[in-house]
Amino acid sequence: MKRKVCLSLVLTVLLFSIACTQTDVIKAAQVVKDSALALQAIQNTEIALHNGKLVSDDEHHQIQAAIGKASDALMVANSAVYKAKDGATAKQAIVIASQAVGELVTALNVVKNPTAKASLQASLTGLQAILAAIGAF
Amino acid sequence: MDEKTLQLILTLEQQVPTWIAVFQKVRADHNMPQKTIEDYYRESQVILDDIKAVAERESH
Repeated sequence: MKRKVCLSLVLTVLLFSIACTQTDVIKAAQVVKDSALALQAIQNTEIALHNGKLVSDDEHHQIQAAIGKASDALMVANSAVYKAKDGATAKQAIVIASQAVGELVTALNVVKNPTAKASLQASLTGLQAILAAIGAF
Repeated sequence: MDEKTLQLILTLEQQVPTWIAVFQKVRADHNMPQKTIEDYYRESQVILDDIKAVAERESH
């Protein structure tokens, strides 16, 4: 009888720890998807600003190249989270992607028009806030 | 109001539906606990592929 109780306790703890790990990996997967959506919104904002002549052709090319690199970094993180066996590994993949996304800040500094720059930086703050959420778990 | 400020307001106004759509998608995801890691992986990949394709086209 005691063995059965011990076994059920061990199984409960094991299942609980597996559930926690799964939850953290799913949270990380959500962060990647939210970040992808935010990056797409930044891209659309930049294209609208370029079409509105608030961003020059040269600036537009540089920013789009940086957005391409940020999407590469998020693709790497997406694969890493998908393969991650635990929350810590998944979290680490997103931290690395956050650093690459940080290079977008440098790219946005090329924008000369102050109003366009402010608009893009505000959009970027949204993406950074989503990525920072990974620190909460 | 000067021309530049007006232009910025118009640009931001055009982006409001985009951001509302982003927030709605984010909220919808967080209310769907049945979604799997595979679902998130696949959906993220589709969005990121789109971003990459647009970035490649627009950066040249």
